[in-house]
Amino acid sequence: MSNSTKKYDVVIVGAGFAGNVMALELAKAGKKVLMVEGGDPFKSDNREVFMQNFFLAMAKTPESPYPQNYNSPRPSVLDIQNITPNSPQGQNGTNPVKDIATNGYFIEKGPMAFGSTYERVAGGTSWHWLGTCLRLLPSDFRMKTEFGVGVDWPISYDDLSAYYNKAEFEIGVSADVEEQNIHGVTFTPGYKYPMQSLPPTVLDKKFSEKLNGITLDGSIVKVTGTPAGRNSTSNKIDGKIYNNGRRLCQGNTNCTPICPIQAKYDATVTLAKALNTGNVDIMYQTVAYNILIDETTKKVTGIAYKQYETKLGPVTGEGVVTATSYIIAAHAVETAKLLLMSKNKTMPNGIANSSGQVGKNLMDHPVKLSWGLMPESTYPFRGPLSTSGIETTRDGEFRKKRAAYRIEIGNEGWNWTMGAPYSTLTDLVNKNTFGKALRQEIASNFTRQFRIGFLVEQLPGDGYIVPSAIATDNLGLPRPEVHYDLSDYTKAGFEAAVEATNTIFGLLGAKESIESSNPPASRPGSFTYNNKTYFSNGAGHVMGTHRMGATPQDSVTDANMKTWDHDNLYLVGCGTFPTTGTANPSLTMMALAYKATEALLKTL
Amino acid sequence: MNTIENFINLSAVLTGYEAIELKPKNDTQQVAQKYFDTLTKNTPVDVLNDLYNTFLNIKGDITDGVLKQILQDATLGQLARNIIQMWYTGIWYGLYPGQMDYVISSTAYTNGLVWKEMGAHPMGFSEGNFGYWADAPQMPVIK
Repeated sequence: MSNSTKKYDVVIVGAGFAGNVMALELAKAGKKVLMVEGGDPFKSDNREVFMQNFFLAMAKTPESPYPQNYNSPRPSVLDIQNITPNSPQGQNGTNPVKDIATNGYFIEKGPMAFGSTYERVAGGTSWHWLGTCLRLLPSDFRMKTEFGVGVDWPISYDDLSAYYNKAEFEIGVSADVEEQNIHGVTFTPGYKYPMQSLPPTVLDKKFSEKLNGITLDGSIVKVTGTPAGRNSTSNKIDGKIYNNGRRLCQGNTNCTPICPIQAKYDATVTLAKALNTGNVDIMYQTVAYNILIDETTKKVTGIAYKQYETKLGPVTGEGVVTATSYIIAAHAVETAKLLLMSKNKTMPNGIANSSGQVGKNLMDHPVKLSWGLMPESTYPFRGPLSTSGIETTRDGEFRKKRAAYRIEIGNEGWNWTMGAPYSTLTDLVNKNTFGKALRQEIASNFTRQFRIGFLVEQLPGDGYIVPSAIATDNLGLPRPEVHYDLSDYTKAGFEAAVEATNTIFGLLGAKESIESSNPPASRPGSFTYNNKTYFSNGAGHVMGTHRMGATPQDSVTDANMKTWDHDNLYLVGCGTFPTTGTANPSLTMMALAYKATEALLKTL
Repeated sequence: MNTIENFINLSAVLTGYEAIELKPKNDTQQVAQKYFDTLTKNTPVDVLNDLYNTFLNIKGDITDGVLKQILQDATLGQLARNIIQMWYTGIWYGLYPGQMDYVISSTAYTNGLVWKEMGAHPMGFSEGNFGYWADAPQMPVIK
């Protein structure tokens, strides 16, 4: 495929959440866009094939529907290991490795194992996002000013509010404005989400009944419907019934790893629209590896790529794509890696990196899971994976000393936490429970399983990524070397989450599982704080690696996501976030992409 | 000896379902046949013969006999537990050297009994309508 003769206004690297929004908006404004996507072509039967992969996978991980691609590889939760000098991942680091079938894509250097993953396909990680569309709180943008920790964003909640509206419209968010205006979150007068809040589950209602009105972390608890990127009953917007053409949610309880019916938004929705404008071309199986600049003007002059035809095949093409402006939207890890790989004589520390912040501030929402049995059946494994949560704990004076969290109520029993119902069934059968007794046990006990998840915030500075100096993928490109840790600020958030667990389980009359209250110290993700062992899961919310800021000295981009160093280079995605807050980040990433587009359009 | 009838009759005791529920007259999905073939393919013939011989020769209470003579037997017990898990999850757990754990087929996955027993559906395979989750399910009646 040759695009060398066609002139483009913008090249976008990565066809995920952020890249696709920008492609669509630029195309609607009449701009010519070329997208460069590392993964396989997006086809209409992708979902059917992915569903078959999912059904047949023994470990139904977030990655299970999506085949590993050695030319555009991705990490897997099955590869998370303890980090020791002798661990396989450590050994990978000593040899250039081509086949990564066994030891994983990341070169993990610790001290903490990094538990989050992403997809490198058209549509990106949105294939297996949960669909949670919470807005950040006003205070999340001012951590330094309000609490004396972290840094402030160069923008405020009010600066982003109108862009949130746009992102919510594109996704088709189901939520209730009245429920969402907590901790200073405000909405445009008369604003309505495109669709109504999803009906709460039997478990959600029990949480509301037992917990509403109590004080937790200094705030009065209110269990609320979680804004969801999945289709519910439509609202009338500007006199018209909102209709995004997708199906109503049927409660497949499978948002992660894959919604079988696309009731949940994913970025292929926006990609299809972008491609339909006629203004967007896309090169698949094309991996960007070097951002080229003019040494005098510092402007980007092109992006070099390698192409392949099969997942383990050789390089089949190389070239350079060019345009007036460039956007990197390749995921927080891959974008930072690409910038750092693209070093040259005048930019020995990498592109856009005069601040030294590229690849730094690797953050996630480490998750503390708590699970047990309700006193009566609340019927898990039904409905979307999560429909309600407790957001009232997300803000308070305590953030001067420890991390905040939101509490997600899970609808999938002990599936995430213990691999139920498989594991719990095996336990029963191994005790020779069979026949009608087995059926009765399942009906009375499995239906009482529940879990909550505390999504704990992190501060910048805990971790970083660099391209490995020695380990490569099948194309010969460096693999990410991940250095990850949790600070005491975040660990103290886990400590508070255990206290909150005790309060919540007590009020519910629930019995906490022994594996929940006493996690083993040896698992990758375990840590000790104040003599107690905790276990942290990855949330898949990878943030911070090319943060925006107010000055070129301490940030990679300005508030419009334009790099300080290169006038025609924009970086979008969750890597932009200076701090994490506690809202699942995809909605904010998309809102930011709208903001970046608006700024970029003024220059074209 | 190794007939689908014997397999279904034994499976009925192990799973707590009626034979006619496990293998309806018009089993268009051929689930029972698939499980029968999976068991046959993965088990040494002498062990299978032993299993069915033992089952057919149980005297008195069938449930008690299956527990004592099959589930509590060193060789037959694990095989019987595998049969239960196959019906409930669609998975064959590797039992003999060289065998891996695997999901038998997507139809086997979506027919796993464990989901129905919880009043739920296989994850990724809901037959409910929008909002069904707001109310408690109709639970299966265990006769």
